[in-house]
Amino acid sequence: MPTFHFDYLIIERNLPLFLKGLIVTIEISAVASVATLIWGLILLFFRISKRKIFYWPAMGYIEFVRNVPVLIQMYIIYFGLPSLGLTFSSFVCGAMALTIQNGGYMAEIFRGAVESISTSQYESGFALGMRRFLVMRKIILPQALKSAIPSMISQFILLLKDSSLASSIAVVELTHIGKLLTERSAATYEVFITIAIIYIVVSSIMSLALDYYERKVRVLR
Amino acid sequence: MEPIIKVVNVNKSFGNLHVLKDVSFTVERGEAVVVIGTSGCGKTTLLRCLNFLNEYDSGEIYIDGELLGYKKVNGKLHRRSEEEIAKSREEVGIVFQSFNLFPHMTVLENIILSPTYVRKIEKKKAIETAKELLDRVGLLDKLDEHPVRLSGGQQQRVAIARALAMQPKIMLFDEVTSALDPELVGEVLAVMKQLAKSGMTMVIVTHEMHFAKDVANRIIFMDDGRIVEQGSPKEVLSTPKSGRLQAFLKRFTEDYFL
Amino acid sequence: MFSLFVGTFPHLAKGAVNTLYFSAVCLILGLVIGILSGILSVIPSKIIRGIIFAYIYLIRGIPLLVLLFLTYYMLPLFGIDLNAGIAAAASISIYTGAFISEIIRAAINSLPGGQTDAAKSLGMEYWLYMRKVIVPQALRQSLPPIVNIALMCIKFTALISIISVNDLTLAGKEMSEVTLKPFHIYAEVALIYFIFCFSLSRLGLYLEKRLHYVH
Repeated sequence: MPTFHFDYLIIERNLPLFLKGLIVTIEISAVASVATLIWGLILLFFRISKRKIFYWPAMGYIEFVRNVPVLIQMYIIYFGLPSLGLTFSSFVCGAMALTIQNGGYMAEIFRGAVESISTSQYESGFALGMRRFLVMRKIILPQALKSAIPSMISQFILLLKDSSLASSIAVVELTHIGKLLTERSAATYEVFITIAIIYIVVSSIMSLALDYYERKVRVLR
Repeated sequence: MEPIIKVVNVNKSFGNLHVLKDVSFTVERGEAVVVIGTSGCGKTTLLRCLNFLNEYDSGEIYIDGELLGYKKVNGKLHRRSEEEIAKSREEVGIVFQSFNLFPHMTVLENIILSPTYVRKIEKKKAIETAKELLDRVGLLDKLDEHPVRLSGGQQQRVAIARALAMQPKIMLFDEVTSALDPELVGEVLAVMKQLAKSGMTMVIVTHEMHFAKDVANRIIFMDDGRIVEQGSPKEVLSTPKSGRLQAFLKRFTEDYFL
Repeated sequence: MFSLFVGTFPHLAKGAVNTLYFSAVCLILGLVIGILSGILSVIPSKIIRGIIFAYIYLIRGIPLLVLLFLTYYMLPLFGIDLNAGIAAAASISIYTGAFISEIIRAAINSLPGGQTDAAKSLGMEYWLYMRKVIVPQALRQSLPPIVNIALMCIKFTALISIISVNDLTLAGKEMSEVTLKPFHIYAEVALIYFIFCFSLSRLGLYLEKRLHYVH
């Protein structure tokens, strides 16, 4: 077995590049996360609606994003849309694909949270003369969304990791930096070990934030 | 003859909670001892110490002359190895409140599992013994059923058969009827009564006062981690001496007629 | 448009077969790794539990794509020539194994404590009752979630196209370059993935219903 030799110099010299990649990763993840929240909420309304015209498209959409790889969704947007006349920058394509994919999962998280709210909450609202939409808006959703925060943060962590796929549609994020560096230097695994460590650190920070939040919330209950 | 169970100054704590406080008693061969007391008094903990499911912190427990769970080396107690502890459990059978049958196995498989793998008894012989035991508890026709198909009372009787299949010297019963619907309690108590008559040494934790009066050679009353009173059923139930036992029994005479 | 689908189908079908084959291999390897490490994650030895914890933590903290590249470039360290196929199989198996490990661990921990109480009380030692009582029940319980993992595995394999391993996605890439109709081709590819994954998810639901009936 050949010796394991780690070229620290190349890593050191290229730290600014890693940082640039990390920033793009965070940027695309942040944009997609916010968009996912909004899109997920919209989908939620469709998903829990009693009207078939809203319910079925939402179900179809969610099943689609669950059963098709994110990469294919990205390729459809990046390679496919231009042939229909819709061209966006690779960053936007990546962000859209991430939003489309995670929006579906987010809607399901919201749905689970809404269903976990006991019916007595609805009954109190109705008893006070409130209509269904108002009850949802003022009583159910605030509680549901608050209880969904841990799952939401977990989903954002997954989103951050999925952002690495944007490297294959020319978004210069962290993983793409890895590809560039291995092409133009002699270092190969050193680059990706470094990138792996960076991802682990970032997702650990997010997980710790999640734990901290959960502990704070638990104490209050 | 040496008592088959000898408990000397046993203490057990769970964290800051001191559950067993200097408990001492003995059980003779063939005796049926019933332990009663309020919830939280430590009776279940004591029972589980008798087969080392709960590891007692200080004191000594001797099962048939052998120190349980620990070895005395130069006067100090050292925890025995896992193999030795497992071996000592072969002699003490226990039946739990929640039956704890293995759901993925049939009744027969439940019963022959340990005899074949632990006591290394030949499978054919183990099956024969299992059938005899099932017959004794009245469930021979349920041989190939899975526990989920049986009623609570039936599952508990299978649990008794499973414990007996190891041919233990002592049988422990931990509130075995508390989780059963009232109609099913009788069939289990009948099996236990029969077992006591056949001369098995039994330690029984229960709330069933009629059963205690009927079957026990001796009743032990515990409160707050200590043994407060013990004696024959007549002594303990009809003429309780301590105030706490009187208070405890009062609750029962209000619901039942002792 | 129909002729487009018909013309490209043979090539895509070959890719689809490769995808299924690869997913199956990775799932099987992942099951071996996952079940072993799931069991090891609960045994009394702190050292081994720590190692498994580290494995799960590190693997799940990085994107699969990064693991893919990392494995690819680390192959020479193990004396293996750079081989995208081996790197792909190894990394997806390891990644899948981490998920399966967590499922097995959760299943073992979800079993009632009374099961080990009963087994210990019958004189059984640790590995005997793990083998005969705990693990069989945990595996049974894990079956529906594992079908879900199989579904995820198929989606994972789409990444191997990035390191030029033949699969459905790579076939799609090639066809879209040839036909210059990327949208239609990738839509077709999406449909094929959908059929595979959706079938698996229905299978998972069916299994869950059946198992709940028995236990």
